[in-house]
Amino acid sequence: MGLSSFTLGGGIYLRKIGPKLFQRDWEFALAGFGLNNVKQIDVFDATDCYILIDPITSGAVPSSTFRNCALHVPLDPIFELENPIPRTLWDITDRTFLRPKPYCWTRYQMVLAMRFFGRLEGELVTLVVLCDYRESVPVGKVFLPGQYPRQETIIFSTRNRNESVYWEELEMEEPGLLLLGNYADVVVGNQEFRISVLFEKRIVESISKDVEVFSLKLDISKAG
Amino acid sequence: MRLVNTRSLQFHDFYLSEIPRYAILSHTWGDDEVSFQDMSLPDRFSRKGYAKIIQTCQLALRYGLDFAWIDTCCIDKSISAELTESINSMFHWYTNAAVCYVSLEDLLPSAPAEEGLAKCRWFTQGWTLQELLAPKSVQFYDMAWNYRGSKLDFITVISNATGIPRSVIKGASSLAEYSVARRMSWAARRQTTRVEDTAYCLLGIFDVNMPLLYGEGLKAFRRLQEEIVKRNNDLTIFAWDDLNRHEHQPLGLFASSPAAFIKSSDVSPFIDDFINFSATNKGLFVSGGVPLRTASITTDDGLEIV
Repeated sequence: MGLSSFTLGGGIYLRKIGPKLFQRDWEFALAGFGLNNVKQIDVFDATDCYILIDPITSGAVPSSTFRNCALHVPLDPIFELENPIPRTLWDITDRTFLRPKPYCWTRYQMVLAMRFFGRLEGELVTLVVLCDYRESVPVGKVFLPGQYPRQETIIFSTRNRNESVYWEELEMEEPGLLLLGNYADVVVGNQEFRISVLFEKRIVESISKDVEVFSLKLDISKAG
Repeated sequence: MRLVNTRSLQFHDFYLSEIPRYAILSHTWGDDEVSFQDMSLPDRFSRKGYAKIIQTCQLALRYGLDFAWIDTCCIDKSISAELTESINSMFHWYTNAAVCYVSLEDLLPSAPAEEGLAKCRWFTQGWTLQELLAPKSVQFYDMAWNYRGSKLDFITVISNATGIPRSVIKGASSLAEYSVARRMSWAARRQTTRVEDTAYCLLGIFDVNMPLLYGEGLKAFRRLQEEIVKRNNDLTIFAWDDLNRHEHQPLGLFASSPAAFIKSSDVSPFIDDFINFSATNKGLFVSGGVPLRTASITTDDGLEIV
């Protein structure tokens, strides 16, 4: 937003209400201009977004609307989330892929993609998780990096980072993705692990006490 | 523009191209001012405000000026169209004046100007901000109409008291060179009698025009900010803070008064910022790619909030 003589730069804090819809966060004073202990996590390009001028208006859509039955990705003790796609829907505060539209009947026509990495038995393991949420319940699809290199490149390309690709397009590219299960088997040393993606419908109070979300869980078990 | 003849005290109306050189008065309003209608009443001579008119005309005459403009009597405030035109033109009227006489009605003749000036009520009023900055020549007079010096003579005192850079007071830099937040901060400590005037008195400072709607209350300042957004690609208009805010209390993106900019006196826009934004009925629309930063904040309690 601007510079002051005390800081290199400053601005206002925003909270994400919905896709491309923000609201000023009044919990904190001006960003950077004050003495807040701020650590930058990331910089991303938001295209054509709105910031509410008057949050308290009858026409304003409450933030819970975009979180109702949305896909929540909580912190995992082993795997760290990297590259949640599409960025337009991702709310880092609530760790949630927001609903693309406020209407309750809308679903996610696009691929929700995540790359996780973590250590199993001391070895680095990377995992690609796709979520197909075109129906009323999300379905997870898991594969390991390199199994679908072309599709992986398309999904995580900078061009598709904000909006992602549609399932229809991806299925035309690689029909095999349809057959993917919600787990992947990973060999680490002499051990084989099965990492499964599950979704649990629940209330996450930090997001909203009024609406439920589908919370993603990574289940790790020894295969075989 | 309606001017008063400094010899006859008669009013004359002028179109823009015909306006002669004139003096202008800047003062704080009192209880006994003389309005346009009052100027035809026989009891005007006994009114306190009439003395200001006479003094202004006499000073102007001495300065070789046949006309003067005084806000109490040169606007027929009973005609709303005239009031709107006047307030929207006032910054230019002060800019174009040959000289501006400032009547400091609370500056005692015995008070040293360097010490007394900054304490005068004149420096606390909303309307007098543009009256300080717009005219090239500003002359200060105490309560007995003794000349105490020009704004250039007291530039350091004024700059310290108002927070306005010396170059702006001098007229060496234009107002547009300063961010919206900085200009707002100059008005942050100033008061107006009517709440709408906190906005209307800043039209010239931001070079915007808008119709006046007395009765709209705080909406006037909101409308002013919308007008500023239409004309300025300057995001510092949002660099304000409500010092009385409560956590989690949702507030708007626009400030409720210039007071919210009190701590924004040194905020300037990024030189390389060129974001298109406009006020819509859905919110502030920011078009194109906007680099947003995600950040975590560690609170005083050691809690990390993303």
